[in-house]
Amino acid sequence: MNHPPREDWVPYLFGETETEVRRQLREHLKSCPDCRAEIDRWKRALGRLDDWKLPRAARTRETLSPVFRWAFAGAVLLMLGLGYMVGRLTTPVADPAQLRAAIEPELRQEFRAEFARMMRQELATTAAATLAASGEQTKTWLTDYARDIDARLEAERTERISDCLSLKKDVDTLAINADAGFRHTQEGLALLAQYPQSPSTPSNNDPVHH
Amino acid sequence: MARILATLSRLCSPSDEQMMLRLKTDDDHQAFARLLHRWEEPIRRLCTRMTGDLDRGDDLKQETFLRLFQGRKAYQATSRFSTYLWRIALNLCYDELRRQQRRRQFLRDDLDPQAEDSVVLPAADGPGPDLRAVQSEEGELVRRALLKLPENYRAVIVLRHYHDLKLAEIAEVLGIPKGTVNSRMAEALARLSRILAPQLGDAPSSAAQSNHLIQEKFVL
Repeated sequence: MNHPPREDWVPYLFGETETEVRRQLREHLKSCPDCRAEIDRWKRALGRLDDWKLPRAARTRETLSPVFRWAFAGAVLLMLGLGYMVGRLTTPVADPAQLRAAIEPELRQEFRAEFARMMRQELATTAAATLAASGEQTKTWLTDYARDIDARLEAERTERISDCLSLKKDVDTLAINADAGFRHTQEGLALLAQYPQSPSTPSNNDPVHH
Repeated sequence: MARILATLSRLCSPSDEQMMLRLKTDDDHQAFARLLHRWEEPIRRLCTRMTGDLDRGDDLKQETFLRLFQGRKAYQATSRFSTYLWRIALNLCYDELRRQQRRRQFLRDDLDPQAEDSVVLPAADGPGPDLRAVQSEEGELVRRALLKLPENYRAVIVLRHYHDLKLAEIAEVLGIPKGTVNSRMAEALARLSRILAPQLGDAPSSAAQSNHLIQEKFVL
């Protein structure tokens, strides 16, 4: 078999062969076990070279070149400026009426909610204060009322006693008068009994008519 | 995030070639500092892989940048800066490896050949005292396997696999034709697969035999 020259395999191995030559060499490899074994051995030997790893030397950090530093700073400023401009240009112009229409309902709702919340809070505070204050006032009023009632009851009681005394006095007067009347009647009757009965005057003897 | 910023910073920064020209014409120390920062780690890694020694890798990295600075006026912007820098570093690695070779040879000649085994040589192909250069047993096997390769074979493997250079770029760095890079790489891979055969799950004898057969076929 006609083998290609050995040095031809080197560019093939490192991928630096022209397409046509590469194709021919690949064809040869397919049909030649000797060359295939040799190239395979070369590849494996090259693969083993990676086992030798060198320790890294301590290196100082590379400083950025002045040109690059200025370019970097410029790029950052440019980006910021561009961002600002794009933001300004892409923001739609605000129409006050539209804006108001857009936010008014929401604002109103928020205001209502807030107002209701405030009112509830105020009411709760006021109610508590009012309750406390009204409790005091009511107590005062009730005390006054009770005192007033007591005074009235006392006055009424005094009046009643006075009335009773007056009544008693009247009754006593009446009793005395009645007693006097009765006694006068008794005396009248006794006097009358002393008179002789006369038939001409039966009607005068009738006590009913008397 | 930091990586993204660093990449962006690099994109916005002047190229390596521009900074090297600034260094050449204006002695701009900031340009040099930036080049150093960008390239010190790749160069340190290249030198460590080539010598198999962490400290030597570090020293060679320093030496590479010293040479770069010293030779700044001679820099010609005809090729990429990276190619220029890889070339300086690799040449320094070759010099260092040759010095080591000479030292080993001197010690061998000077000592009793009978006692050679008992002497600890500063050998590049042994585990050496620098076990910090690897982080696992498998890594140590790979380090030793690479050190067994001739330096020009090792260079193509290291540049292609660990530094992801294209074959054409490797040719440019080494100043050789691309075909030579390919043949060196093929030989390097064949040798490496033989050395690593036990780790690849191949019987060494069969792998060697297979390589031998294929080599014969290719020669024919």
